[in-house]
Amino acid sequence: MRWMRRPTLHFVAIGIALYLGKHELLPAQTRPAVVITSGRVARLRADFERATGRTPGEADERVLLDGAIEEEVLYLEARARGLAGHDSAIKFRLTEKMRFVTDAEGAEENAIDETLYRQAVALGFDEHDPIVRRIIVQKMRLFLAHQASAKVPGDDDLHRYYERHRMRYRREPRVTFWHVFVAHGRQPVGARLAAVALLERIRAESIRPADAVALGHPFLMGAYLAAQSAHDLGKLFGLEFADRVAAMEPGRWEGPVASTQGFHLVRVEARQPERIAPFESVRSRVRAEYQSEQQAAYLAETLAALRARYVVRIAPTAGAGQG
Amino acid sequence: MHVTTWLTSFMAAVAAGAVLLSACGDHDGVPVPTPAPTRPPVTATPTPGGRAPAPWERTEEREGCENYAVTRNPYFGDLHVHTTMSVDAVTFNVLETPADAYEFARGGEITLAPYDANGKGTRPLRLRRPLDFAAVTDHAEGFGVYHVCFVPGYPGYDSADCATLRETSISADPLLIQQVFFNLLIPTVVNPNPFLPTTSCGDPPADCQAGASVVWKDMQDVAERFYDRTAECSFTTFIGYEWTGNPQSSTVITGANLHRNVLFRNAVVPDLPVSYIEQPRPQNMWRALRAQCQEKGTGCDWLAIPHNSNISGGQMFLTENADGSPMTAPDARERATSEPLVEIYQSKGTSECRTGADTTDEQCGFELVHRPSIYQQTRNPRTRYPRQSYVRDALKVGLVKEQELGANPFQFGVISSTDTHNATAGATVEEDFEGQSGLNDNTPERRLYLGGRSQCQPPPYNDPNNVTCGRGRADNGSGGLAVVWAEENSRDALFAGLRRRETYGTSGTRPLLRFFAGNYAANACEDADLVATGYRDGVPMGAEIGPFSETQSPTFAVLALKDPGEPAATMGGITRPPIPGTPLQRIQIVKGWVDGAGAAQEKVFDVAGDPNNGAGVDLATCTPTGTGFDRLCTTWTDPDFDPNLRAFYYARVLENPTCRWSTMQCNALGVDCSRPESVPSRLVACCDDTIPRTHQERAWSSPIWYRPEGMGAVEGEIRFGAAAGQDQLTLEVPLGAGVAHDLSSEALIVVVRDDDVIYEVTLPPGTVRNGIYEDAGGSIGGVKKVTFTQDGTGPATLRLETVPLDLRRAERVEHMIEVQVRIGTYAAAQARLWPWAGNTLGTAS
Repeated sequence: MRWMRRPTLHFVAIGIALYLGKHELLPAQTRPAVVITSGRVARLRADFERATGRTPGEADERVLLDGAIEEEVLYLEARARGLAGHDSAIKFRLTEKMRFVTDAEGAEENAIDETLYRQAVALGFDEHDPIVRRIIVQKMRLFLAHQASAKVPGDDDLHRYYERHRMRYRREPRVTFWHVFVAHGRQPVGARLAAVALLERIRAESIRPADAVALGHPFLMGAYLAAQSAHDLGKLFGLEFADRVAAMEPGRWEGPVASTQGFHLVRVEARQPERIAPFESVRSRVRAEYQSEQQAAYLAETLAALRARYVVRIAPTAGAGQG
Repeated sequence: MHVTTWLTSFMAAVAAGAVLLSACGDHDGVPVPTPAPTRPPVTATPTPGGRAPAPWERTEEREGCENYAVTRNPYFGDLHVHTTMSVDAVTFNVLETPADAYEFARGGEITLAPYDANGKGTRPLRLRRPLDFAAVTDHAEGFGVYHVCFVPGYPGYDSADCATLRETSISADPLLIQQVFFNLLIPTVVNPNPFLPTTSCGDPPADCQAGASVVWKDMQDVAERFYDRTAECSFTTFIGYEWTGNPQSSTVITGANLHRNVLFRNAVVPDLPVSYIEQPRPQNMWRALRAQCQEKGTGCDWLAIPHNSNISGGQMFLTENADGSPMTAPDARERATSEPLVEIYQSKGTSECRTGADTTDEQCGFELVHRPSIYQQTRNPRTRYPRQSYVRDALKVGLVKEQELGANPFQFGVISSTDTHNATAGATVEEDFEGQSGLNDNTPERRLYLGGRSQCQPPPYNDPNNVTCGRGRADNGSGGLAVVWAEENSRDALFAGLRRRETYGTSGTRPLLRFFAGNYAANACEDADLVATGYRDGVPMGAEIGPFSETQSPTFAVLALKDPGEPAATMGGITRPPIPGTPLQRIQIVKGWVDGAGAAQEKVFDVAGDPNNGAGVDLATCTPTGTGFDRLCTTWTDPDFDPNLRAFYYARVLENPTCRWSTMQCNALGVDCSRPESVPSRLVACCDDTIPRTHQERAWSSPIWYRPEGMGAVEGEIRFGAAAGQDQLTLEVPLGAGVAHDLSSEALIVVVRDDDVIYEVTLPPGTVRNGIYEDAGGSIGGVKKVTFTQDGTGPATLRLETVPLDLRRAERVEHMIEVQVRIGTYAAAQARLWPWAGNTLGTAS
């Protein structure tokens, strides 16, 4: 969920959570039903069309409806938990709205006015104002998100996570090698034949690598390359070259291998196989990934549990079934 | 519960939450400015993996890199990336975060606006080749507004402005986007005396300042999360931001783009970015940053990179200070130190040069944006483009200023980047081009909008008619890449590369380019060890050079390899085929100099390849025709060289022609320009003369500067003795003509260093008398003998020999050694590879 990725929100979340922790929750049986009206459905469709330029299909409608139900559940749950009543942003918003409606004079501008706020609530403004709704829904989400992130993972959790996702901490295989370069001439066939002949000579005369490279053409980045990953080799030779060299046995001249520049005779000196980074060198990354996974899982679980407590009613005009 | 009681308990709980979080170690963000960072413990590992040291200090705790190379590797990156944290991007419906940008840069898939019902983007995109490094550089002016407007709890959250901004961020309504962009955002950054909007920020704007510190801390946390500190060195992030000033003035009524990106060397950064709001003049911004960074002695370091001088209305490279006072030598040095680089190309066009703006260079027509200032709405064919808007002119003016002041304010190297506002770092492939600003350019039709409706009005921007026009986007290019030659992919190594300007910019493809000046054999291209030779016998791109031989031009060695091409990649579940790399057409060297009369000149030389190779493109299919070069290498000497004239040289590599993104997208839409009546009005850009069908992708190297008074080829040697304290240094440093060095009134300072100082001595004024100083006892810094010979303002030679000393700090392996000489305000330096042989580290080993 996109908003979840803003860590700026987390400190607010914890504050809210600590605050909410002091409040009693209402008993479940008093929860009202979730009602998605036909007007709401029409609005969802219109918004979708405006954003994507196409009419929502059946699958889209189901997703839209799911989103609307989830939002409604969060909204009702937040209200049930008394989350809406004490929000300064909401009070401010409703004060402003009431001030506008009543054209109230004398009250201090840009400040919360309790009288105006109570009037607004009495008139039911809080239940229909889209911004108030959004604040309440967002607060509820933050509250739920916090419950997952508040738990500090232990070393065991992290080790288990690391073991379970070892491949994420993979280190690229690397290769150290000499290469003799034969540049493309006007005839590509000629360069390949020249490279083959050169390979036979180097093998037959057991020419040392440092001397062998002088028999070829100069290569921009030198003739000896250390600890190169496929990504490194791709920049110089192209990725096909990287694949070929990755399969070579160390200690003997091989080739010719084509690159974007010409042909290469390659002698691998050393090879570091693919391996997994030791836990300690990636600990902070493991922790960040573990926590974000925990958060997402908890949120999905909690939302599902919450939803199960509500009766959902969809207006008859809705195309999709119940959520 | 009463409101104030609730507020108190809520705020206390927030504070408690913050404490809890900081205990977790992942965050310590509270919505107030954070205390000054302390320097992290430094583990000095001067020789990564026990290998040759690099000429920079490691300021971070991290592992050295597996593929460390003393002769340096090429690293590709993007140093100009916007995300949803930029308030302009968010109005374009861009919701991608800095984390999304870094994930994308590392090769992850992104899905761009518009978003479907799940909030998932609908346009999949992926880099076929990941980047090595990236910096998210969001507009710092909006950090606070962003936070206040998107996090409930601040009083400003419910202001009409914030509500509109939020509404816009989830709306697909172009009218609303334009309205917010021009009414809400632009007024702040074009006001010569900017202030934060009181509606959202409060008055005084304490809420936005607090909010900005939270956003800034987030930026740092995300950069840390994606920075690979292991020996794998797979990806580097830089903490950075954009300073976004566009002051209106009587000369540029639509606002002069003076934007700069500020990049920090490591995780030690100021409490808050210094934005246009706090410091609306660049010079004051540098000073404020220096006060909050280097002068704190905490290990903080930064540099700034100006961009889009092409739309600065001629204001980016003024030869006086921003307050109108004349530029002095210290001012010039301050600018050169603060801004060692410039962005030569990005999505909003090239800034190199422009045909018609004081140049005859026929390659100055590449990716031009047809408006002289950033917010000008119209395309007017009669517009005059001031030459002061271009990098080439600034480089020339810099030489003239150096002649006058003894210091060059515009001695910058070059990079390119994207300036994407889609968080799509490095997405420069023409075939995959999806635009760069959310719903402004999410469809081919929007990307191909030509702009320039007649009803567009100049400022004030609250004219509702403006919503129907907006700037054209068909001019926009796909953006470029920054390439840094560095020993390894770490922050210190890359930052050092940026600082010494060993960089080049590309127009988005990935050719490799090396450029050296020094003493090279004419057949140096036959040398299999050419790169090492390049560093042993000369200096690389970005460096300065003095007279290397008495009267002749230095030899330039320039090498280029073609881009190997883009591999196949899967985006949105669909595999796109590979794109072969384009062969090279030629290498040019661009020379600028000050002639005998003090006037700046320029000349372009074709030095390798074939400008008439006949390569072309079949426009209907975008298939290239003809042949080019897989690689080009040549040595070149300047036929017009005059050792007394100040000059710069940079290399420009041109690929064979290929289709521009616009041609590919027009073809895909079936546009046929031979039947104009069939072309719908929304696609007129497809057939407009000002939108080129093809272009030649290219790379621009940083210049090498020739200074007549600069340092010639240094001869130096460190001979290690059998026992400790028995090492000896000898140096012979030729200095060029033009400055009368007076050692009776000025101190002579000599420094020899690699990653740390190997040897340093200051000989006070009057120590060297009649050109000689001798002391067998070595009482001044171990100097046994110094001779300094000069005739008037002619060439000089400095020779230095030490008594036996402890010089063990120099590693006994071939590596880069820098020699610095300072005499009064005169300064020159030269870093070269000193080979190791026997018991000697030296230039002649």
